[in-house]
Amino acid sequence: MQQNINLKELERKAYTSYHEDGLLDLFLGLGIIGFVETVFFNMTSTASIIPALAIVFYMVAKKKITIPRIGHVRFSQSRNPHIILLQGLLVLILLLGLIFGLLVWRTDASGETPFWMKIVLEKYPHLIVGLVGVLLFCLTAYATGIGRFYGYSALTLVLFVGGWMFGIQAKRIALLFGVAMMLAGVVLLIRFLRKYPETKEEISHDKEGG
Amino acid sequence: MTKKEDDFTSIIDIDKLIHEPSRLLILAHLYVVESADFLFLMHQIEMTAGNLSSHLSKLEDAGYVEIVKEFLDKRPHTMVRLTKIGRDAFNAYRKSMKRIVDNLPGK
Repeated sequence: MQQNINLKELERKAYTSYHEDGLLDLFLGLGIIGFVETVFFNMTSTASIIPALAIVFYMVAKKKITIPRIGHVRFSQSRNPHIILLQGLLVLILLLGLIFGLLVWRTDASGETPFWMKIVLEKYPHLIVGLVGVLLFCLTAYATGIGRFYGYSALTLVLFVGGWMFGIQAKRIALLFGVAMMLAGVVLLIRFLRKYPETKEEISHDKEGG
Repeated sequence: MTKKEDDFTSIIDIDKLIHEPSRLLILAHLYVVESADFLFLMHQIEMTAGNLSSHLSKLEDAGYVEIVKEFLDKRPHTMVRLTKIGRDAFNAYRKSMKRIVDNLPGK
């Protein structure tokens, strides 16, 4: 039993233990692989369905695998400011992406794409995708307190900078990253299943204390 | 009342129901979440089902926690949450303990 009571640490522990199962990594990895694969084969309409499918499967897996093993918890409002911050930043990033996309589309249609933009888009796609990935994983790690996302951030940086240096296609690097994330998720899931085997007996509160 | 007498009274007035380490841990865990089920508390606090049940009953009798039993997928499911009384009592306990510790000589 713990001897020191640090409320912030308790909250962080409760939150991170809920994501010890690796399901987030597994489905995020699978989502990235699916997304990149569909983009590879120019099935852009299917690409948009992949993240939605990954979310649905994640929620089902959480209910069927995690909750029967470690129980269910609802987090208090005090954790919400971090999540609201994350959501706000994600919306901001998406908006900036949209504005940038519109800018490229408009200038391209009029045949006046600025020189710097052409250079950035054609020569450094790795660095753009890598930078967005680093930013997103760092923000997620900060907002959720799940430390391994800082690791994914570092991995994104290494893979995309490496890919750019060795001339490997950005899509292939993204695929490699998705596979690495999925494998990490599988390892975490196996560890979680061993640590928390599902109990056949019913465990619930008994007023008599037994 | 002098300051020393006041500090002494603070020690006597400490809520003994909360002061017990296991119950203090249960309340601390419930303090940082909105609600948690029995299994989650058992894993987090590393306590046996019998022990946890016994402590929860005492906290429920004092009105510090609310226990809701329900069935999820045909399995019994116990959700536990800290009540307003429990949250206030826990806050008062923290303040009392901090005051006592802060007034200890030597630092």
